[in-house]
Amino acid sequence: MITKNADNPTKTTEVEQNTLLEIKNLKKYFPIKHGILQRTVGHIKAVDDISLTVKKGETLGLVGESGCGKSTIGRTIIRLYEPTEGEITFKNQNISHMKERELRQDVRKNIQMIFQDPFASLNPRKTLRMILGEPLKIHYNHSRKKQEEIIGELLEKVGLSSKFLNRYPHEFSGGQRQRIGIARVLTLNPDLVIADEAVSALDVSIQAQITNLMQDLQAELGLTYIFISHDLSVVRHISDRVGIMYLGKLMELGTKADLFQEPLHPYSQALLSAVPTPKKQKTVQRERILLKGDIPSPANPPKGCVFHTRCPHVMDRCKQEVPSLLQVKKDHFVACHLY
Amino acid sequence: MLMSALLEVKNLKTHFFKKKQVIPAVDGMDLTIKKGETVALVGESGSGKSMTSLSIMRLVPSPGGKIVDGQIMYDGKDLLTISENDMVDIRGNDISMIFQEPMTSLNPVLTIGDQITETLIAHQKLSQREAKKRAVELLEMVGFSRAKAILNDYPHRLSGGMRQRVMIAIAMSCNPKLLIADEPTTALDVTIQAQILDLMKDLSNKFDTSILLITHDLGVVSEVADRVIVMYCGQVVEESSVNDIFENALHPYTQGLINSVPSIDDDIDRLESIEGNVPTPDQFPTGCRFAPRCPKAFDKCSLHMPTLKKIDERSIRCFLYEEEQS
Repeated sequence: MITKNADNPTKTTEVEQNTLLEIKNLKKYFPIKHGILQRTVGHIKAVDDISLTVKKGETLGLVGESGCGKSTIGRTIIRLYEPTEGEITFKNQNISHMKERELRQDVRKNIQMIFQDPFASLNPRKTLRMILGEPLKIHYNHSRKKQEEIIGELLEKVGLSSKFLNRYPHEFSGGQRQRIGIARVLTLNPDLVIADEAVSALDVSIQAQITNLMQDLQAELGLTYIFISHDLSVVRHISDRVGIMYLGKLMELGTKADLFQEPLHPYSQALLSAVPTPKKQKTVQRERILLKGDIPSPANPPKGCVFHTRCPHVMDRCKQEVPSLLQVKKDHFVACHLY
Repeated sequence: MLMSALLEVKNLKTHFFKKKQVIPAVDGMDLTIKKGETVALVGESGSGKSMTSLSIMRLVPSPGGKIVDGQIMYDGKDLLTISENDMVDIRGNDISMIFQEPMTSLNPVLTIGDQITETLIAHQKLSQREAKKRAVELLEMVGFSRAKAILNDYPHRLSGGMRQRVMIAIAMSCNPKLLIADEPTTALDVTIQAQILDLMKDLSNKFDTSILLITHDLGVVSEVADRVIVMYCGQVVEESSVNDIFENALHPYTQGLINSVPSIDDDIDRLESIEGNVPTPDQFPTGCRFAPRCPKAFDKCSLHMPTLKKIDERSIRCFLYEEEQS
């Protein structure tokens, strides 16, 4: 079962051009309720009109600061949240308003998620056998022996031992727990894995182990990742294409090389320049663009371009018109009036 | 060097006692901070960096934790022998601290003004009115444009970055000579982190304040620190200037740490990672504590504990470099 994708070309040889997931004008608004009648007084626009595609076998990185909606996108794709508007197409199937039962039959198996906090995402009262066996029990009807075999194999694959089957989560360190989280995702052999801040809670040396593991598994099983993180260096390391988000909007989307060497959007430029880097030699002295002020609240985003309140290149037009995401060159999109 | 040393920690040992078990959180720590210098204390979780800072402030959680050995020399006095009352005078006036969580380190039911003036009234013996005036100055100093209005606001009205600025204002309120910053930017977004780091650099230059910066982020270290101390399992494994450590790290642990951070400026196919996990204090190996994870370990490493050796301006705890010298 695990070797289902073994004959597929791996990511390094040739990226298959077919689209695995397509999002069109996706919106997710959370109502703000107020008062004794719980009337809706406004909306938090967590994800506001985002369109993008994910190709088979690639890693799409989504970065942004807290409150930019990157996690909401992940959770909406996996349908933990009901989208407010827009379309999600997975494997040529519109799943944006699919019923729960239909979802479970076909889609749930194929889109899986790795969560941020390895301490909160595993049930402390269940052994690894139960944690990893549960998805198999729901979706397949394997014999107990077969199930045990699959789980054992998976544990070895993520660098743990099949002897651990009777242990509880508290017996493992953060890094090991994240490996368990990855093993759980792989039990169903998904096509698309959404990793929401999968390495952010880990120490740097462990972070490198998990990042390497994720890359190895991708090459071996032909997985597609949506890698959501606030850490630009990790995103750069693992992704093929990267999208930069700000206040629910996609500001820039491009290949890793384009985006990191030549960021076009003023926000991308500021964000990249703000990352402190351990420099071995002070060769690349990037000029730091200091942004003034804080991120506005997503409940009351600025009119026009959402970034205009902090943008160093702001023009009058930015305060009125919302810029749309336009292609500036092949595979490089920017939402800014400058271009 | 002896002349200008502001704080000198010698052989500090902070242990925790749990059911007859001794947990050596800090185990023989040496540390010198000169006047006006920014020293970064780097290590992964559980390396004892936060406990070191709490020991300096004499704020080790008790019961449970205890400073069992060592000296903390500040201004000719040993902070471990003076009375609690004298220590209260030193906290805030001479040494102050910023904590990691700007969300939880401010009192939610007091206004920002109350919290800043409290420090001033307690330590500087200012009157209510003077304290208020000074509080406005302080808030302006850390970059608030509407300082007067902020005074009457409660912490929940401020964002993470603003709260951390308030914390810095409180910490700087009595012109301390040493500022201990425990992961001051870890909980913040990168653009906000850049603002706070800039602010700390400015203030340190302006008031000649020494900073002990505790962090796990090597990027932050290279931005602000003059000297770096790397800790592993309660001990110092390497100490050197910032340039030396990024250009030529000596200890295998430091090398591993630097190599496991992906760079934002160039592409690498694969990250070098350090095998295994940080051992918990009850599983510390005999011999070098890094030996089980060290790619260069040899027989001697698992038998004996290397000492912290001085080589020129740097210190290192590793047998690889002891051999060379003898």
